[in-house]
Amino acid sequence: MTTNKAFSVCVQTEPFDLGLEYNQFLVGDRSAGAVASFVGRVRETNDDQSIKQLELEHYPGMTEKVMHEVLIDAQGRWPLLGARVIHRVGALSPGDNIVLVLTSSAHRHAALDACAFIMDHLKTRATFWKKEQTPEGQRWVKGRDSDQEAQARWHAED
Amino acid sequence: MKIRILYFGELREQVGVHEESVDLAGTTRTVSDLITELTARGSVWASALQTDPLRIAVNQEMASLEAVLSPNCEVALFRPVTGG
Repeated sequence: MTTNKAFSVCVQTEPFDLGLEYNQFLVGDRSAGAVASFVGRVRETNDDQSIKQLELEHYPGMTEKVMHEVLIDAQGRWPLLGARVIHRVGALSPGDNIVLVLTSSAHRHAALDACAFIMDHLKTRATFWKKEQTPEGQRWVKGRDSDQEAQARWHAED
Repeated sequence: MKIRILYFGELREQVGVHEESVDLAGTTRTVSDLITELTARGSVWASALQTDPLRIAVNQEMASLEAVLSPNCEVALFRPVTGG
């Protein structure tokens, strides 16, 4: 297991381009028969409130470390050829992309399952915090039990 | 013993501090002792730090209240993460 160029993480304020990232992810690759991608976006409503803006804060250093750990965990479970995660921080608006996960493998199940595994673990482990601007003011997003359960289901047989 | 403390998100707003260096009292050994020491600063600190859920990282690893502090360590205090 290695964390090399094929396995990379990035925290950035800038938008990302899925098509561009996909092409760069696969440059020179002729063995990946399957690539899975997930994009998380800002919804215009959350908990019955309309969202004007989302502010994302993180813990520089620890965030990247945890994201790498999640990729290493995924490599331990599936025969992945590569994985890339981009997570944005700063001020975002409804419809903006927040997070991108790309995974590649020889076959589809490894790529799809690893992509879901990585997202479920980013949700519960990566040190990001969201603050919403609603018409009634600002509020910090609370952690969801459903996210904890989504992570836990990967470990039911561990 | 000197340590660095970081506060993030809602907790950062509640205590009004993002980052500080603190010279700990001689009796402060663990994260739990540190919370007690910070809580003594006043009502804002007490209500922020004694409100669950509190999450702790020591040197960028998740830690428990029982974790033992070491000189120059980095302690981060925050609420459960909400990324993705």
